[in-house]
Amino acid sequence: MKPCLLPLVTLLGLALYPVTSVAEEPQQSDYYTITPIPAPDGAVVEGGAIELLPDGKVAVCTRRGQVWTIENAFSHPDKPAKWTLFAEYLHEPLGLAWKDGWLYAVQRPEVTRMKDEDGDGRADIFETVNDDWGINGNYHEYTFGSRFDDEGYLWTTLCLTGSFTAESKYRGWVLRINEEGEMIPTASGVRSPGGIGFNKDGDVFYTDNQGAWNGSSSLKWVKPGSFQGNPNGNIWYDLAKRAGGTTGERPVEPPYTEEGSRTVEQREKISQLVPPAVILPHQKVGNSPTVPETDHSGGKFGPFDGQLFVGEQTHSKIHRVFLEKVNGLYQGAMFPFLEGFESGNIGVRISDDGALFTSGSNRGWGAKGGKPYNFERVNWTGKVPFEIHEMRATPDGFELTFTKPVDKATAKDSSFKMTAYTYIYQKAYGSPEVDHVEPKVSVASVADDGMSLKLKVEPLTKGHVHELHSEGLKTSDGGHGLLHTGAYYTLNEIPE
Amino acid sequence: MNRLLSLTSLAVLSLQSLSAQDKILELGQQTYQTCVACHGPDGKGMKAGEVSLAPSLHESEFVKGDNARLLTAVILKGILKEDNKYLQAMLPLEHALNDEQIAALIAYTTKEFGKKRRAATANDVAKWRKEYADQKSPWKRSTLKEMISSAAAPQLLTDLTYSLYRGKWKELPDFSKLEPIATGTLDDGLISLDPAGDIDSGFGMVFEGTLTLTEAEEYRFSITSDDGSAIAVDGETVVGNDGIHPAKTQRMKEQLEPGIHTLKVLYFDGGGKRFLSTSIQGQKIGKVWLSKTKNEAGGKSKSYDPIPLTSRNPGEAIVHRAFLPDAKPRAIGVGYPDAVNLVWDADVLNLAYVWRGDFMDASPHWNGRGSGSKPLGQDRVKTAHGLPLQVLESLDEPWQPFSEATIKYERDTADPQKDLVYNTKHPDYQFRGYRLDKNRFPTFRYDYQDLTVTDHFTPVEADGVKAVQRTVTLEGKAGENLYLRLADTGSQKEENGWFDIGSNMKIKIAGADPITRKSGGKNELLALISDNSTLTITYRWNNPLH
Repeated sequence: MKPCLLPLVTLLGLALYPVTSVAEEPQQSDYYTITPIPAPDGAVVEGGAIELLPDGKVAVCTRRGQVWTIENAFSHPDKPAKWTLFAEYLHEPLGLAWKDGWLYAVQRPEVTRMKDEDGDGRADIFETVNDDWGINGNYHEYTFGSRFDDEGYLWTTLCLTGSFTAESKYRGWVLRINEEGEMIPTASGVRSPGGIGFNKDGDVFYTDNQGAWNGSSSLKWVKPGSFQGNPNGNIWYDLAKRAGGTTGERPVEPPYTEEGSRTVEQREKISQLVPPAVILPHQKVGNSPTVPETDHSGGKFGPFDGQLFVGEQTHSKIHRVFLEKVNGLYQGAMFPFLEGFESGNIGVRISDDGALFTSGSNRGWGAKGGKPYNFERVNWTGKVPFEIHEMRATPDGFELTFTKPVDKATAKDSSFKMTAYTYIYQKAYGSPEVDHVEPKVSVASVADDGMSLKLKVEPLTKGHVHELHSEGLKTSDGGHGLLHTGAYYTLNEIPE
Repeated sequence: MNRLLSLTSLAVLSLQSLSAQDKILELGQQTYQTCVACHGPDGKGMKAGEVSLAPSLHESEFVKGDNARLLTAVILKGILKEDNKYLQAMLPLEHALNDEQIAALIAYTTKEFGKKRRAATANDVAKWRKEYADQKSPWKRSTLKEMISSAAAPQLLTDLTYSLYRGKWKELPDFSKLEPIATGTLDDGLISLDPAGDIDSGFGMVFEGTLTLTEAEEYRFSITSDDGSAIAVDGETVVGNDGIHPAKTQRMKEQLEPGIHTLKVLYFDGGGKRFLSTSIQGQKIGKVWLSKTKNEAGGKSKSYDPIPLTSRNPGEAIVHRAFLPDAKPRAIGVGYPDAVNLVWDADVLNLAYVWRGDFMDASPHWNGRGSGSKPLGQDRVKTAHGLPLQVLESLDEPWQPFSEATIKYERDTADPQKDLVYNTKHPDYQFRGYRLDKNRFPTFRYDYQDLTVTDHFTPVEADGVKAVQRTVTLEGKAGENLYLRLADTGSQKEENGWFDIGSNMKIKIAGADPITRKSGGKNELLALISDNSTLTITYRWNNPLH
């Protein structure tokens, strides 16, 4: 493709920049390097979650139940990584958290904390912190766990039994648990989570996978007391209330009709229903989102400090997410970010000095990467990619900010294309994109420094994904286009 | 006969509404005149007094059914007259009608009498004619019944398409990035490698179709392939069978709802033999083949290479948490040195069983989506599975081994008001985890009311036989009438302090007085617990391990 660009651009009369800069279209590896850190011989590291330890080691738990600690994970291959088996044969742990000298693992049946008391590098104490939820032997009853929040709670989210039902206690719930083992059932409506974490302000988000009552996969905000949309787990509402859950009344049922409904309509009827903060359009951008992880590196991981990064298992990717709160609800945009990982990313962890670690597996659910498992590190090269930095809703459109100044000549209406759509909120599995709107996009204004612009979008549709493609936009710093031209904004609320 | 023929011409007139353009239906209508004499112009069967010459086609399972192949088989070969139910036999028409006429006849009769037109082409008929070439006599009704029931399963897979790729792979490639060399449809809804023709190495195929189900239940998918394959339902991989290997079967259960699902089967052949078969099994539909090839290549049920778990260092135990048979889902398997093993069940805070020999095969747990591990070895003995402690006001009170609760389950599927019985934690108990000693032997700990209980096991030798010694400490106030249950099997006949608990095992109890009782038709061996007590229980097989 690349050699073709030059004559095409010349023909269109857009070759205003030195030819060399146009010819060299940037690519991901100019900005981010992916370094595989191979597992020790014979080890099968199907990563489930990653945690950073205070001594500079990185810990990863695996679907086979091992917990490894890795020395030199930040410096590999210059200083080769050294793997130590801290624990093994746990029950498919999908959460790992360090707190006060204990390593907490969220296993299928319980939250366990581990310690190496005799100092041989292997854990010898395994304390059950909390096991107050049900499992019945069905593989689908996964338990994902976060790290600890500022109030001392670790959050877990419990996959339904099979794809459709909640046949064990608190299936379809988010629970939070402190180190004393106290548990608060916190939100219902979960279907099939892929991970749970925090945004920069410490609010809790999890991903839920496309399926029944989930037209598409999405990133969801776990507002305490909220209902996330899948009604199956609501049978546990009374129990949750008796257990001191921060839940009010059981949500009324969404319509079980064949034709289904729309989330934006049901929000009016089901007061506890919190719509997905950011829809990750199914098939278009991924298939199986996993854990959300915030960049707290203050710019060491590139120009995206404070944004969320979400693992994607099937497509072997990492997404980038910008969030904002409008009228009390979270919403925002998903941007494609990194691709080409070796397996299906499940665990993601970003260190304060800007290294992103990811690890995953393709077992049971295939992944594009093609390898059965991976453990990889991503570093920023220091070069700033031309990307949409933030995408905010405005009363009549969107404001885009950029990582590099735009070339104002390209900041024109024809550089942008938008389509908007939503999904059916229904008991059936998934949904096609429906209710398509083709809004008219025009450039309302461009900032003097070229670092932002305002788009007027007519009409804006409440509840719809607004899918923006900015193919024509170029930066004045090098003349190339956006590294990722797509942006997918979920417009739960239109600001006033 | 003349009278019958005149009725026929009336029928022709009444069917003029047929689209003149539809040449196939026109030919079918003409061809049907061969059948009118017995089946009648309206397809209801000609009457001769009380008796019919032939059955009504409106009731015919062949005409109503979805299997043009079986209908062709009947038209070609006819049906024997085995009784007097109908006056006529169904005559073989294989020499009377050509392929095109039979295809048209199928279209016409299924549309007019079966209410839904079935498509079969002259080519299909030609193919089936060959397939049935060896059938020399008309069908017996009993044979046809079997054929119907085996084919009765409605065509689950429709709109089936295939894409054929060439390439050399060691595992399934990302077909979405490849350009197929051929694509097409498989109208019989059966997955088949036939479109690959004679290619016998280095090709891949992707099949995609619509899977229509009528029941909400857990379906079992099975796929056998040489080399790699996978099944995806609604975009999620259900079964993976990837890699280069001889014909190997993988199975997986998946809960699916009634309605329409997308089914995708991926396959590649890296070289050597090629093979692909796949099926779906459900309560209502039974096992239905989704592929033209209808076997699992020798029917081998073993799907995974075993992954036997062995200790990392000599003398160390393995503590393995996984779904395990004959225990609740929070099972913990422990493999000790000296070939003794046990399952301790953290759902009921108690030993579930002991066995000898090899410890555990983790392959079912660590392949696919993970169905749990499989204990190996031999001489498995169950040891009063269930909650270990209970206050018995009298020895007539039955033991309550499990803690269950019921909740009204208003699910959104077929069975809206089913009561759900679920396993729940007993309020008197809390599991606290375990510690590993220098040999990685675990000491399990739990709370029971005001007691802190530990449960530890170690392999020992007793009377020259390998045995398991269990130490239970109960710290705190036991209260009145608290019992520990140790066995609910065997005769429990005592000899020199050894109680026979059946399954070739005896146990000995120290630290508390054993009590035997009959309860619920079982012999139970209990121990009365006092404050701050320690019990030592030895589990000994009657003979050495062979």
